[in-house]
Amino acid sequence: MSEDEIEKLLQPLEEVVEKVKDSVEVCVRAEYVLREFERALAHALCERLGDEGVRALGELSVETEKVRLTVAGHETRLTVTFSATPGMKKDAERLAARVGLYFRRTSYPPPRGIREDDFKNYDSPVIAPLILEHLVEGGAERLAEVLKNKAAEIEGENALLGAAIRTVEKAISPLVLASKL
Amino acid sequence: MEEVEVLSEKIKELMEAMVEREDLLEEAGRILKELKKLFQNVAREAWRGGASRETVHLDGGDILMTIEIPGSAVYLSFSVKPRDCDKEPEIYSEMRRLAKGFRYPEDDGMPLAILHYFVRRGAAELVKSIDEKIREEKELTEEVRRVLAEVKNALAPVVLAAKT
Repeated sequence: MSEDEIEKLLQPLEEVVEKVKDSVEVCVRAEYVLREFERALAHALCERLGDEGVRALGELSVETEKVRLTVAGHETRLTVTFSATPGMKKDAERLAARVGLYFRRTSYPPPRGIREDDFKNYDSPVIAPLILEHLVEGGAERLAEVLKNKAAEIEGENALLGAAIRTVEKAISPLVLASKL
Repeated sequence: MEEVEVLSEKIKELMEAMVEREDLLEEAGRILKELKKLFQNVAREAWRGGASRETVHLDGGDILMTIEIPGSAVYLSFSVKPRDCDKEPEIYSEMRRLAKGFRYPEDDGMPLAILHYFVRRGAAELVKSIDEKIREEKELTEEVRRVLAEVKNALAPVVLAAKT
């Protein structure tokens, strides 16, 4: 095989490599933007909640059909993570195949990737840009809506709990009174 | 970024609602302790320092009241009836419902579930159970009978309140 022939074979391969490199760069940038978003959100939350609020936070998780938002407080440190839900699996699989990047099952639960159940975890570099795309295309608004609905639901339950407590207090009040006499 | 503001505000609102719920369940825990103390005082006043040693479990439907007289004092406690092999008392689902989303819903929802059940049905069931014990258990000492009778009297206003 002559050098020219080898060169001819290598040229299309180089083009493919260039394109895959571009895809990788987009994914890395998307990951960076997403982290910045998480950091900004964590910062804003820390300011709103204060140290006490962060301590009381525990772990909070809400999701849309494709993206999950997890907020976790560890002592005075707060982390915010956007990850993919199983609803994003097909999109990720398709995009990964199109741009020539991997979409694979992993033995560990990936921080941003898809957790179908305890034993089925999937990871791919295309997940970060897909999460960003989803958030930009109304996903962030839907997350806010989910949070609002959840808060309203809990407030409704709180009203019921409060009413139950008042009923109990009323019922045992003769006892309390008798003990004070 | 506008999204950051909106999301952080909504997360804060959700947190406040969750903290309020936690406070309410804690308040229920405090009331249950107070209730236990009230009945324990009633039992202690009826006990005149005799030498009886007895542990009486009173059936209050899905809840239990236990009066323990180890010979030196009187202790009283409320608890949830243990799960049966084939049947779970309804109060367990109530406990889970009350503290849905908590890490240990059965523990966190227990005080309010006990209180709620006690007021609705438990107090009346306990009165029945005390009557039965006094009537049927011949080996109970006079002192234990007196303690039980006083606890029954103390339960009466709660039973009455549940009926009205």
